[in-house]
Amino acid sequence: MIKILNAALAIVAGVGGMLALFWILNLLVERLPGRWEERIKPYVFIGPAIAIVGLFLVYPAVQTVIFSFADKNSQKWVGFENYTALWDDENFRAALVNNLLWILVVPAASVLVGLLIAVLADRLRPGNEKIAKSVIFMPMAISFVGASTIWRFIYDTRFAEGDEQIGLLSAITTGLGFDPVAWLRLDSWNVNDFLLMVIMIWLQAGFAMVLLSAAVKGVPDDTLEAARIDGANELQIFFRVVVPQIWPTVIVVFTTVLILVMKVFDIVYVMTGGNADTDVVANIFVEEMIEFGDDGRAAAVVVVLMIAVIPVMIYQVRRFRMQEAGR
Amino acid sequence: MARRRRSAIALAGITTTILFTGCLAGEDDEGAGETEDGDGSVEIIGAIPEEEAVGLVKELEAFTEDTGIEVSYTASTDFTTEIRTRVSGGDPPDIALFPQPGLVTDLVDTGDALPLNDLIDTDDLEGHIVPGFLDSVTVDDEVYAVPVRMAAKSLVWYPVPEFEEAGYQVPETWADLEALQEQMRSDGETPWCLGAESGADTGWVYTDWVEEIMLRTAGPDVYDDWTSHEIPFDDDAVVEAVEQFGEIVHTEGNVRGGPDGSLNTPFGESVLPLVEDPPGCFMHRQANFITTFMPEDVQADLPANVGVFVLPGDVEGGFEGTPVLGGGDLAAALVNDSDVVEVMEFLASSDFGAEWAAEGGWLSPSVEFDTSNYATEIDQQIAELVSQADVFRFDGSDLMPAAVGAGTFWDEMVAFVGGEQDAGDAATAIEESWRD
Repeated sequence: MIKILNAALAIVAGVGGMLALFWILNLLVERLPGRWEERIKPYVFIGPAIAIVGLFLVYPAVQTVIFSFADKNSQKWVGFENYTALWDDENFRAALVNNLLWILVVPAASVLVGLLIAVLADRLRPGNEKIAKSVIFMPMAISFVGASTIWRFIYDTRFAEGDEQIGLLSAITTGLGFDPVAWLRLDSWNVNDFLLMVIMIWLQAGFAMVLLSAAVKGVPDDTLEAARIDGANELQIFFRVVVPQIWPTVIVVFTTVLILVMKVFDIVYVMTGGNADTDVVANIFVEEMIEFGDDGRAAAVVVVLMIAVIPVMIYQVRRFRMQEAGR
Repeated sequence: MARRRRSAIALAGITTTILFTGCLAGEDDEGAGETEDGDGSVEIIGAIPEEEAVGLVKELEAFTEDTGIEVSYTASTDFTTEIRTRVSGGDPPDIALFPQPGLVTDLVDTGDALPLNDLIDTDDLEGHIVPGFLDSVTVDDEVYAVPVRMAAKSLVWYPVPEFEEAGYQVPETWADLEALQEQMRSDGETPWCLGAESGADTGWVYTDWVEEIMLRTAGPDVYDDWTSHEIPFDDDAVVEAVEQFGEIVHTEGNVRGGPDGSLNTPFGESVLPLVEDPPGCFMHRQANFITTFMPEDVQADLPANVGVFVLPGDVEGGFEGTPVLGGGDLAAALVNDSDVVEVMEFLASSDFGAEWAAEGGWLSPSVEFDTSNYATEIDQQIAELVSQADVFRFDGSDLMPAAVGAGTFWDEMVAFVGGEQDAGDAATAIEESWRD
């Protein structure tokens, strides 16, 4: 009860306080002589937002960069030692490669699967389309950890003779007469990495489908009709007429999934703990920070990840600006 | 254009201010400082799960009745994370029960753990704790933690009725053990149940095995050199111990489900085939806590169902004697007030644990502890076995820096059992990851 009261009080005080702050600042600015009022007013309203972003985003980021040049307790400077140590760490390099694989495969696969379902579902009767899409969308509501738990029952394998297979995949393969396989330890050709990626694709395909489906439905019928009159077949219509028109949505879905994939952690942590060459960068960060207590190297890992995300961000912002300019 | 430049200058200004304010943390003071007056309550957190801590809570309630100091124990499911965030956030619990001494010494480095010599009578403590136990938390002659629970790891469990029926004998020496394994295999039985799956912590069961073998083949002195990095991790003695372990886990038919099975079976579940009828295996090496994972009907009458012996020693050409490998929980004081000091004195006394012993599943780290307090026959038997041991050594991976002991040592042993890495390369990879 006290907690609820506290929360209510915090909301009232927080929102009210902000309102009061803006109101008072506004009042003060309005008393300034004409030209100055106009000059300062925008900063009065944008200022608190900038201050908050600075405090909670810029400051920690800068502090992280600083700590990445210090030792494990952030007490002594060590120069670039953390970075060279990371580079010499075979595990970290493998994690970089794995992250790259995730980035290459998961967004593309999510878009492809989502697009396929969107186009096919578009041809169903409206009632059936709703049901089909709901089922595909449902995994979106499951947390990564929950999804991993579900998929454990697909990849689980029992090796002792006489034990019944409770994992779906192993039940099928041993049922067909093959030997049991430790799926998540198949590290040749990164098979285990791909098995983990399937979980993420399963989770994200629904999201891709919803956006792409809306885009597909937004393609004007007269363009399709014009193509048909010109004698184009269905495949030609899809690739030459539909795809170019939904391309901006494809890019949005792709980059959104991409940014999510750069942060991949939970699935790997729960399923393999990074064993058998499945480590990813975020997992190494948690290991360094919490298990090994090495703040310096953990910070260096984050800086590397931060730098890796920058190109994607720049591309996103540019595209957004272009879109805005086109309007 | 002019406006844009002005805002750029402003941004640069803000950034440099932040850069100058964001400096490094200073060195902390050494020593425990002045003891402040307590406020009548003491908070303890630890990694001992609630169901295992029932006895501890009873123990603490009895203490509260005697002294009037309220003591609370909270079990943390993610202890390492919680203690690190609370300490670095400036809100440490009064006392923390650490499952790994390495983590205590980490906090000694940052000045967060208090040296106990200033707070309690540590000479008395050293007098009655199992020899070797306190070395793991002693830095520059200062003791930083009090052992409150001991785990005996070198225990081999077996299904009593079937074991006797098959005519097997409890092995006395390592050679006996090898002969027994062979006999079981030729009888068409599986000697060992061995499961190492433990989520992100997968691998600790294997490192325990390697430590057991190190103690027996190379002896306690070399073992100490190994855990303190006096000898490199890829020393021949270590590689040989890993290979010896490989013979147990890689020999066809020696481990239930083979190496792949041991990698995929959760450690808690792996004991279950031992107590099935007929048993799926005849031996399982695991610490005394494993009884809590056995089915309830087995737990109800342990002595009739399972027997226990110490993993034999007396290796030919190795250490002459039977060592015991153990672990434990260690209480470190993080806040210095008079109530905390009183609780620490209580934890450090040899009488501590009478209530806990009555609950079962607990071993006292004190040699002066009255064994008649143990409620069950199995507990008394284990206490007896431990007291008969020629030497006691603390779990080696818990003594090594976390990057090795909770990192590469686990990972590389997993790769070794999985067949992706041979013993020599695994040891070299671990050696390269050792940060001093």
